[in-house]
Amino acid sequence: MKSLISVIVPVFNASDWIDRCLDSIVAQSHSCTEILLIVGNCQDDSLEKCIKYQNKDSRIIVMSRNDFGQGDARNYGIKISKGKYIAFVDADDCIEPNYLSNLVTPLEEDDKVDVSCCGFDGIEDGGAWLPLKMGKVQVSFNYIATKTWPTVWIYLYRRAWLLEHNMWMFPGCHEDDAWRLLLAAELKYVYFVQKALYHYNSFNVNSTMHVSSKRRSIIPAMEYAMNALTVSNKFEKYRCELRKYFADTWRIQYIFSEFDELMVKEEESFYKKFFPEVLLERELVQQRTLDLNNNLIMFGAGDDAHMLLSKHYKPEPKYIIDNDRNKHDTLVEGSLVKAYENIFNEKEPFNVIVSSSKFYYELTSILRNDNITNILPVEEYPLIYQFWGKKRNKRIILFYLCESNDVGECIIAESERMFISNYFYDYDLVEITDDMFRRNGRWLNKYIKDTDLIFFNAGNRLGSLNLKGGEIAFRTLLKNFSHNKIVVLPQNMYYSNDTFGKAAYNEMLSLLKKVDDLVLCLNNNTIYSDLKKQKIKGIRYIFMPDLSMAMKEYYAKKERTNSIGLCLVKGNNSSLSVKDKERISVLLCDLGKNVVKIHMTNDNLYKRMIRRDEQEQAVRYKIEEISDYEVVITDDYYCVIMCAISETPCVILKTVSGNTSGLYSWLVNHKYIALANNIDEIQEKVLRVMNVKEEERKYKFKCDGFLNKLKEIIVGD
Amino acid sequence: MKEEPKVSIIIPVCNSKRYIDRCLNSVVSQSYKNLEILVMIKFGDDSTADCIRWQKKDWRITIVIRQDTGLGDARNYALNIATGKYVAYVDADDWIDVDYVKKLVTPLEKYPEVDISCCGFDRNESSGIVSEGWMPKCSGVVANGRWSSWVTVWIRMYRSDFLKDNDLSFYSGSHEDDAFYWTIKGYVRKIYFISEILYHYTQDNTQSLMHSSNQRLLYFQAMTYALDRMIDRHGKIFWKGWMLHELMGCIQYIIINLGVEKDEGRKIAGIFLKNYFPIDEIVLFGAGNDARDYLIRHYESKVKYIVDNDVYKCGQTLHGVPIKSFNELLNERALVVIASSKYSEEMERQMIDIGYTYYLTLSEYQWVCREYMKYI
Repeated sequence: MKSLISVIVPVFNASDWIDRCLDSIVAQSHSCTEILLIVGNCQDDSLEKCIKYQNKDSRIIVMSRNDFGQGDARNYGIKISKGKYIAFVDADDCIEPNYLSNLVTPLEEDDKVDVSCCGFDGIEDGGAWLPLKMGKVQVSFNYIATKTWPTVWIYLYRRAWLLEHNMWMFPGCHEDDAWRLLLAAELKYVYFVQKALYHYNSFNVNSTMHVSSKRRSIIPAMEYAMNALTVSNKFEKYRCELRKYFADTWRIQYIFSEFDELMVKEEESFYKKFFPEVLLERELVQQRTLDLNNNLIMFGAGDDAHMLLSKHYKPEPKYIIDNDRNKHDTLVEGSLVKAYENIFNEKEPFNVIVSSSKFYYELTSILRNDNITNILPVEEYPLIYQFWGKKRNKRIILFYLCESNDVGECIIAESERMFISNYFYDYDLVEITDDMFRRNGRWLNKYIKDTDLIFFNAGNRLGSLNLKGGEIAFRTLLKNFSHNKIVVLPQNMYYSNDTFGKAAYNEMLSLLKKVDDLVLCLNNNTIYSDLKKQKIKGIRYIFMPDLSMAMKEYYAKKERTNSIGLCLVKGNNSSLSVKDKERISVLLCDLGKNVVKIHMTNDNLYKRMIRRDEQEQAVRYKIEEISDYEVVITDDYYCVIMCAISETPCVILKTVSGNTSGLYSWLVNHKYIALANNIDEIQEKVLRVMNVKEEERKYKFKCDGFLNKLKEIIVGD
Repeated sequence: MKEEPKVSIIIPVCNSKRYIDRCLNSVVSQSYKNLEILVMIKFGDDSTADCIRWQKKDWRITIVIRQDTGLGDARNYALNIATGKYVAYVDADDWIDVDYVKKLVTPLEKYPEVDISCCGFDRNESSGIVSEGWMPKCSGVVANGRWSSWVTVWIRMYRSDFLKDNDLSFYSGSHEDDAFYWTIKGYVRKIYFISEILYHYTQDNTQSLMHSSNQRLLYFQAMTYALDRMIDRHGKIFWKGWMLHELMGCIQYIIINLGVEKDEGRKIAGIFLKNYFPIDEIVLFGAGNDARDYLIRHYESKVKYIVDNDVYKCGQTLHGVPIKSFNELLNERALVVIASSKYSEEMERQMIDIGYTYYLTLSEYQWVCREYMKYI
């Protein structure tokens, strides 16, 4: 006899998706299920749809109740379910017909396995995750906490196990992150199924708006998790792992901390409550005086040392010290490992870099007991590497080069480097990535001199739509380095027209007024003329196109195929709704051509983020890929640029922030590029650009004038 | 101040569109606020939309819609998911007094050993006529478990641990309320009665009791379920005479309501009773005049022997029946009939003292025989 599985579906404003979801659950090959639809306080007709659907299948039970988020609904589901196993499916997602059967088999066969896990993919976009391992695996805390996805629905759980270990979800937002930590602490064996059996829908913004506050802090969820772990006596056991987890995942905190004081307080109280050593150490690091010309000694010869030294080979440590006798007199990436006591024989001044993120606080306390205070945290090493040896008087600090898997970011970075090496060849270039900024923000001002020139690029991610990204980084920059000369490379800034956007705009204005010397390059006429009207002292505005439009030599001409490329912005940043996207696909299919999706995040080549040395290659590949198509339809800013420079016919779609239409205004005289004002125009425009003659397809935009002018303004005085 | 414990109100809805507003209104406007209102709807019910409308007004309501098989099943499901410390059932046709929950919770909070509190009700016809229902005669705790009440699920509030720990679920067939009443009788430690009418029952929903012999059979099936559970828990020795008495009252009520074939009904009832209550062989308690009168007139029953407190009577016989000492009862399992109208209360206490509760007074016993046994 088959065992009963309870499928728990929290439903919240999912009217558009609920039918698809239920279809996929009802059609499961494992038929012995109990389907619990736990409906929250919906604003749409989800509840009515659920009730209607009950007609089709008597296994469905509809519960309508007031809940405090998905976690609460799922807890309720766990409590009232009758099944031996529990699966969670979200109402806007759907599952493969063999989702349950594939996941339940390993649990039926092996008593020791309490949870099985599969992969998932996105319904609309290309995002996906597959387990890295297969079959029954003995898992560690770190493996679950860092190598799996923080969701609840890729797993099938043994109900008795959940109850036995007192596993309850946090009733609020970020319940999935908290849940993953609980799982990590409790799980011993997991059976991994390396198939994407779950289809995730990233477009239902309603579902995530369960708690309708703008600021959705992760701290309460994490406090919940820590308390739960304390109760189950797992907290001390995984203390180091947890601390490392928070240090890694909360890098973003620094940038927030400057502006959201509530957030700082919450974070500090969290650390004070659970990891007081972090705050103590943070203060001590803040107080130190560092001389980078000192010798460098590395403490810890473990994996972190290997990783650091293989990635950033300079500055080389004089030697490495380690407490493990077995490691003494061995080599780590060319550096000798010695005993800890050697440190007392040092005559010259030295800095110690602690190369262990897990035991960082334990190692620093050893050092501090011995009165050694020149300590560098492990995350500071990339920063030292960037500043190392760059001793010229003229330095350019290039901020916010994002390391991600988005080729758009690469093309920004490449074009900036090109610009700087062509026009500022007598300067030293220090590149500070988003990641380094976040990790080391607290002590970055000790590295940067007032004479340094700061270049900043947010990749068109300024404005109220990007409050967590570029906008906050820019604010932090303006606040901390107001005495430096700051150059904002060509950007679009978009502030939405609601109160939220206006508040952000005013905040930005007040910061701009405090800056001594700022060159602000804008590529969008609206914001340019808007800001210019403000007449802020110390700011010079330049209206100019993106630097990447100067990247002509990348273009590689070749034969085009007979198909249409479609490149749309994914996820929540998209201005188009799911239905719009579907309609665009339909309209293009009507043209009788093969439609291929282009992803600006190149998942095939670079599933991980694209490293600094791979960026050029990535851009070349992407341009080559784009120039394959007969015509490309896109609302992605950098895709348009790539089409333009590779002379590929292109139809641009408008976006909310107006960045693509702003870009189009620079390209108006290129006949092979057209702007579609709405979706209905697409077909007509596609036909028009396709029929542009070969000799008229010439990229004729000249950037040199703008670049010269920019240089003059920067160096002029 | 102590926080109000949560109370789960379970409302199974069964095509009650006419009354649902009145019912839910009375529940959500309770003076006691910490409620969890579980509305159990059968799929396709005509009042679904009304319930949802009420939920939008008051989110203490949780609606559960299932394609379930009956009232008992719905109530069981609701009990499983109820999170309150106390549980009360309200039918969708009826309504409750504004202080219903508050008044029923108070004794349960005050006396931890009380499992159930119980109040009275009245009957309301749709024409507006209000007639008498049932009401406890006075308020207070009934300690020794000797209590009787109206056979329903609703006029009571139950400690939910009491129901869950003892697995006191509803019988899944019809007459589940009777079965439930008799099941809890075997488990409840103490009950608190409130001599007030707090529940208002709607009379004219007559289809709930159907006049057919099939229904009668179903009734005894449900009762079999309940009494079997009692035996599982306590064994036969548990039988208490007054319980037999009350049970027969209920059976009589059923039989009257089930219509004309009284003799046939009484036969079924008699067989049922005989299965559960061994009353063929009795022991008389008291060898006085009452016993003599009985033995003269009712020689058909088999009297095993007579016990009496008077040591001088021991060893003698009365109408050929031997008289033994009271201690003889310690090894006895048969029904004891107290044959003394004058001292019956003292003798009852004497029975309770030795823990022997399977007894009836002589008049009760005669009534049983008259009503049922002669039809077998």
